[in-house]
Amino acid sequence: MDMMGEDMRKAIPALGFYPQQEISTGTTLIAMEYDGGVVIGTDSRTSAGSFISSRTTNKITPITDNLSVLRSGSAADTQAIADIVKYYIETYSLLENEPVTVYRSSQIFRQFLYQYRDSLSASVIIAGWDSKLGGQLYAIPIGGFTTRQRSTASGSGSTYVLGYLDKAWRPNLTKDECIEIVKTAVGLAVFRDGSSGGVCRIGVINEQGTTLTLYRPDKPGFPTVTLPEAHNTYATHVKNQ
Amino acid sequence: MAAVDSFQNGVLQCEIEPNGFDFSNCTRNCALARMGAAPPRLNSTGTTIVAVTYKDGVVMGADSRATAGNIIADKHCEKVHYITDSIYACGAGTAADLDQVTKMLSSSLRLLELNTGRKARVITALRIAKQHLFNYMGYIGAYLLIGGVDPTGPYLYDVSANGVTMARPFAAQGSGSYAAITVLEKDFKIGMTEEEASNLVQVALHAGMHGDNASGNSLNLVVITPEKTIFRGPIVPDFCNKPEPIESDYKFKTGSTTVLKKKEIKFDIVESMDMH
Repeated sequence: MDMMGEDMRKAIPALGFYPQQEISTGTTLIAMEYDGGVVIGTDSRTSAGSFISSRTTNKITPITDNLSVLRSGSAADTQAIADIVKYYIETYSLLENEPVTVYRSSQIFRQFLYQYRDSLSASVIIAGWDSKLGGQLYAIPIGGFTTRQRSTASGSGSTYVLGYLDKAWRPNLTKDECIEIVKTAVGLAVFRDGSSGGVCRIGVINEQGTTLTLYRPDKPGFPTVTLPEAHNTYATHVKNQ
Repeated sequence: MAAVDSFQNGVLQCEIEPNGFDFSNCTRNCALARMGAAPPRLNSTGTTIVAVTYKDGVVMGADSRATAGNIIADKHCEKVHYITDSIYACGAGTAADLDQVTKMLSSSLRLLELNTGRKARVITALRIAKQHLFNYMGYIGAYLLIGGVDPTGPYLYDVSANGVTMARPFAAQGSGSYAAITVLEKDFKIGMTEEEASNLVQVALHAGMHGDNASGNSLNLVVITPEKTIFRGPIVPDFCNKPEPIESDYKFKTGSTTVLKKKEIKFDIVESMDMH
């Protein structure tokens, strides 16, 4: 693929070359295991600098019926990697006449993300279900280090909700409890993170397959945060009305 | 013998094409720029392009101004590119790259149609464009709106130079897109009629051509339906023909300022010349 480092993407004014920054680092990705599957949740904002180039992006990319990848980082890089890995997994499952496990899928992703770590800025969460290990999720941050996790968050919005997720996860969660946790986490992240926003997409992956639901801020069901009333900040000499 | 071999190798070396772009000129140009030799500016299209899907088709449109810096290089630039009979692409970015990419797309899709005996799909055009652009890591400055109708329905896709693609119900690209997208965000509805859609595209283009210095002159439209493809243009909007009337008069009426004090100074005019 490409052999050029990050520095080669810088502008070359002599050529009139200014690479457009279509980077969706501003992202919130949440994923959590429950008894029998995984629940995934994302925001939908794609930014190009300060411009929101899409407010309804789908950051959940289906790979098979029981496997999805959540993308963050450079949109171009993660789309290309998802396409290539999807092609590999389809080929393997045809050759072997059985579905590729979630673990193996995560290792295929890892191979690419590690091999091209210097030229990619891609960070993904692989979420899926297989008959061997049930619901699983693997986080692959930018260097290519792959770990299985009970619950994980990624992207700029993740910093605001990691503590909440640590507290909320417990063994034997039901599907509905898990959906509620993930949805709340997306809501909290979107509320605090300026570069996450738009709609909330929730996915459930289990033995039956993948179901995706959409929560719009103008329709009921969208996770909202209610704050206590703020202190007014008039200067002391101003009469309080 | 050895000398002949090395000579032959040298000749062969010249004939073997390197893979992909040759970046050696980039360093040369940077060095020249440092030495103060101003490089010629790329003929880049500051553009407004707009596309909207409706009930059973797609309407796409573009302005017709090509700029090189502050200069209008071409007033009748064709930015709606033919891909197949029922797929078109509007382009923003580097004019030369857009011509080359859309020509490549149309030829490879025509070849595909002849080989398969079927009409090419929009998703195929998208895939070819996306993978080509990603391979060149954004160095091919082509920002495309690919739209069309195939046997599976109407589609509109947004493709960026770095290889990002998105399916959209409506889209705008280019330097005039900020003005155009506001119009689309306000008035777009799902399941519009052909007339509503082409009106919306025109109004959005007007907004772009009005608010953006790098867009203007005239507009071209293409309406793609399952049955036929209609090309309309060039249409010159009124505000491109004559300057707009200034709405308010900025002159103060005499007597607006009250006179507080009057003083008269009498003086003689003495003719003089400064001699240095």
